[in-house]
Amino acid sequence: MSGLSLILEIGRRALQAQQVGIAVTSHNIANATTPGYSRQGAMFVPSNPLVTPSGLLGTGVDVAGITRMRDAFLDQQSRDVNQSMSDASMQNQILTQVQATFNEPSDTALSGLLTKFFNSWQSLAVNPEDNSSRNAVLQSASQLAQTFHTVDSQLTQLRSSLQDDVDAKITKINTLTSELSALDLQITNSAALGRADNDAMDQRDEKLQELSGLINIQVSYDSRGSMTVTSGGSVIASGAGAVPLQASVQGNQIVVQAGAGGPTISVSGGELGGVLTSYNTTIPDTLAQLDQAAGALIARVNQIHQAGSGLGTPPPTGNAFFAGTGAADIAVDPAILANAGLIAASGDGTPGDNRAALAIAGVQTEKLMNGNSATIGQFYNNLVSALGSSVQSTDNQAKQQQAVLTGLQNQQSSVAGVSLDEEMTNLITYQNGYSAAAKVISAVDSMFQTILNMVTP
Amino acid sequence: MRITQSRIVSDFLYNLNNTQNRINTLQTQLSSGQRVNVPSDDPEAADMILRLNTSIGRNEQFAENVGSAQAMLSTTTNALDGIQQLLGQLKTVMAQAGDGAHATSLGTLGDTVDGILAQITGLANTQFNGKYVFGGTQTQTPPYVLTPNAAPPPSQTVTYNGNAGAIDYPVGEGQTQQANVTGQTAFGGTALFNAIIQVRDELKAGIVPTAADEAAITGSLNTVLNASGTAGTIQQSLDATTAQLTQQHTQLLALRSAQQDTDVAMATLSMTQEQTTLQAALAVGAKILPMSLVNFLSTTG
Repeated sequence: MSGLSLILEIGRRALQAQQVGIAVTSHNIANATTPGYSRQGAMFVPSNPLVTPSGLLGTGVDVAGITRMRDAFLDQQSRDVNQSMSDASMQNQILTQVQATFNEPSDTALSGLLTKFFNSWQSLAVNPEDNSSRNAVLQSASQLAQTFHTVDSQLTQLRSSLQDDVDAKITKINTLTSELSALDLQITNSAALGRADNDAMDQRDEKLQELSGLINIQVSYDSRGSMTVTSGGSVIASGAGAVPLQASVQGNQIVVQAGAGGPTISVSGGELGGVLTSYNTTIPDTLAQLDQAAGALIARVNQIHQAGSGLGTPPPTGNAFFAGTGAADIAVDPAILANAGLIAASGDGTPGDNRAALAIAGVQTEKLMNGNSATIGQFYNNLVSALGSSVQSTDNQAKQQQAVLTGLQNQQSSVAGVSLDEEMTNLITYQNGYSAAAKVISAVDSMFQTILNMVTP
Repeated sequence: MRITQSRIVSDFLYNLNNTQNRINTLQTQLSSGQRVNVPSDDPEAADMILRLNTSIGRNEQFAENVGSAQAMLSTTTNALDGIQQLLGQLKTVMAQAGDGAHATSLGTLGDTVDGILAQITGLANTQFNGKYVFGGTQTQTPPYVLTPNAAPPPSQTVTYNGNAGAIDYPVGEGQTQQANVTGQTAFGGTALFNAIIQVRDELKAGIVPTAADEAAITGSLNTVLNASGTAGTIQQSLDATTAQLTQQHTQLLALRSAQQDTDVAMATLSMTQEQTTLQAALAVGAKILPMSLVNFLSTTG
């Protein structure tokens, strides 16, 4: 009797196991397109055997658990690559805007206007007593000054708009870290009861990946599978809770801290890293160089101009041509704007002399920048082409990292992704298994009938 | 390796996206006609283009300056030629005065010389584009002013209001060219005028001009001829400069075009290749993407 019951029990277990298999398969199929979903598998193990006189007798199948197929090492690599890719692509976005501000190469951009400015001084040297040449100088100088302002103010605006960007990203990071802490708690609680919360683990991995796109993070797990997320040396999320980040402007730089008054985090990756690099370094450097170019132009032109003389009796002398000290405030001196006769073209005070105009036109080829190794124009061209190189190199970097990331994701997908072909094959296998187990049960049933018929007359 | 549906889809999209990016780049190059639209398209070329733009701008300005210098110089040589002819007439008058046959009409000859003096003074005060060409850098005041003398002789005194200042025009990289001839160079300051006044005063007083007067006039004529010759030489060298600047301009434009302009033939060819790739990718994608085992399993099974 006990023999037949045992077989019946084996059949029952088999039916149950195949059902679990089919349930897991349909869960996989249902989530085939869910982002971050890892395929799951029912782990079938033979149940403990019985000791019988004829030897160890198998007792059927057990479902030992439902496991998640995922390569944690690939996840870690994906996060690392994602950090540098997001950083480069964010910097590329911002640098592209900086580059667009300069609007080069174009006749109406600074390089073209510098040439026009110096050419107008050459024209003035040819016709120093001519009023229309003087007005042409005023016009080209005003246009140049105006364009210096435009570039300067657009860059300054771009920079201050990045503050909002930083705030938005910090909010996103803080939301993610608190969600991660909650998920981690849920996972460790489940684990304590001996259950693997696979779907929560998928979500945790997905959110970690998302977080790595925003800021540089390091993730470690303890023996219970609980995570600790650190960024720039400070813990920002763990099962114990999240530490909200705070950004503040300190002395012209944006500083990120873990918690109010907490340690400063050195942000070196992710979109936040890209924005901070642009805000703290790239844009101020560009602005400083623009200022240098404008400042050198103002100083040198004024120096020559003050020594020269304009038109009049006695010839006016000692006037500055430009007002201001840098790109933000460069302007043609208001007195000169009001009276073009004050423009000093003459070196000795006679109206036909053009030494001062010639000297100012000659500033174009004077090596005033970088320790007397570059002209103002060359210095500016270098600034523009260096900007172009940065745009190009960040773009290349972002593309390269994107290719690596795609490769890693493909590898992960070959481990964790759902293959419909495979799931369909499994479905058929489980279905057949189920039918076979049902056959066993009906065989045992008919064996019971046989025995019962023997007893009852 | 396990290949999953999601991987096939993401690979397909990644590659399709790359192809479309390349097509977009080519399209921008073809429609704008420029290979370098922003510095990041090719930073080295952008640097070169900016430098070439500056050189081209300077070259065009130099050409303009040379044009102005030539106009100024041709005004100058025209005036000098006129003065030269008038001095020739003056010499004829002086020869007639020495002839003896005209002894009675010396006063009339004096009037003729007076007319010549007025014309020469007018030419010496020639203006070009609002400036007196023979005044050195004093371009706003007439260089030669004749005023009656309270205590003759001579009956008139001549003042040179100009100076010896050179006006240099920039005509090339590091090159300037003096574009004016001063009254001092052309007329020895006031020497020419004083000599003519002397002749006129003598004729009017019925005196035949002396050999010394003759020598003074000849000397002045030679000075004018020299100045005119110098101006002519400068004009010739400016012609050479113009030719040089034009040639440079052509070369600079060609260099810039090589850096900046789209190679239309190459770009069109690449575009055709990319389009073929895109069509192939789309065709294959449409065939492969919907396929899985599901398509082959009967639903009733």
